[in-house]
Amino acid sequence: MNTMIDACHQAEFLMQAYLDNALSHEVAAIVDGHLAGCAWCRDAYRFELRFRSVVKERCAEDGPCREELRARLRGCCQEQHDWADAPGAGA
Amino acid sequence: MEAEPETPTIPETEPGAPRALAVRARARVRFEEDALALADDAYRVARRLSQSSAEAEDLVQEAYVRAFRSWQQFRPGTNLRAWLLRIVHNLAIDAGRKKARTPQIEPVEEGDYYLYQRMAGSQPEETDAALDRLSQGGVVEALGTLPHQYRETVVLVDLADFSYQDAADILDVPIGTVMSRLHRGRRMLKSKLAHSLEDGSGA
Repeated sequence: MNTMIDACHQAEFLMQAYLDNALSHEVAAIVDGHLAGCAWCRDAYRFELRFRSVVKERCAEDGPCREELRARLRGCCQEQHDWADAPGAGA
Repeated sequence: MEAEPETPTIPETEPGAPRALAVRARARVRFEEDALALADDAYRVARRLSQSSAEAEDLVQEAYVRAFRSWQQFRPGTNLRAWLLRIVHNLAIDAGRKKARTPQIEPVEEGDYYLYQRMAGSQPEETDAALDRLSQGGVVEALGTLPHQYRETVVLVDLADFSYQDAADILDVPIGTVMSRLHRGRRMLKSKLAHSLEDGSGA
């Protein structure tokens, strides 16, 4: 029983790096093995995965930048060209 | 008979040579097109590092001005998105210094499954429903309460999908610092969301 609890703690400790694909194959395989046999940790893994997705979705709801900002950026680009092309500015 | 003097030729490797100028102009246009195509990414990151959309737009504009000015410092073939967002990040830091600091909150001691343990029901559908209760305002507000160094790391890795190494390059910190800040930042975010859900403000 204690071995299982230790394995769950280890899986929890490694979970974020596991989700980030930042573990070595060997260590990831240990987590894979634990998740295959532990329903509680499997549910926690699902939750963590979905939590990340929800956070990302909610934070993306601001949408892309406005057309007005794009126009401003294109204007900045043109200004830099004009400045660089001005006599005496140097190439 | 005197030899006719050779017509002086400008080596094509000279910066002022016509071919070199044409190559440079093409590289510049390519850089500008690629940079402008990243405006959405730059805005999204800037928005999460700023207090308002107007502030984020100004931040992005200033970043692009600097990028267009110093485009030759970008090495083609390297990560333009990371290069550009490094400028955004540096400007956000500068802007942050001019304002009152975000109130510091103590790093939480709870484990990584803290939110799961607080929200989990007996059925997976219940945890899914609990996550669905997280509103945009609740998540954005919770993220906004994180101290800057944690927030920017979470934004770069979890929202902008940068690798640990890219985030370390953008933030100019060791990769271990990115991992540590990410770890703490995520825990803080979960703790904040758990509390806001419990008191009803985040749902």
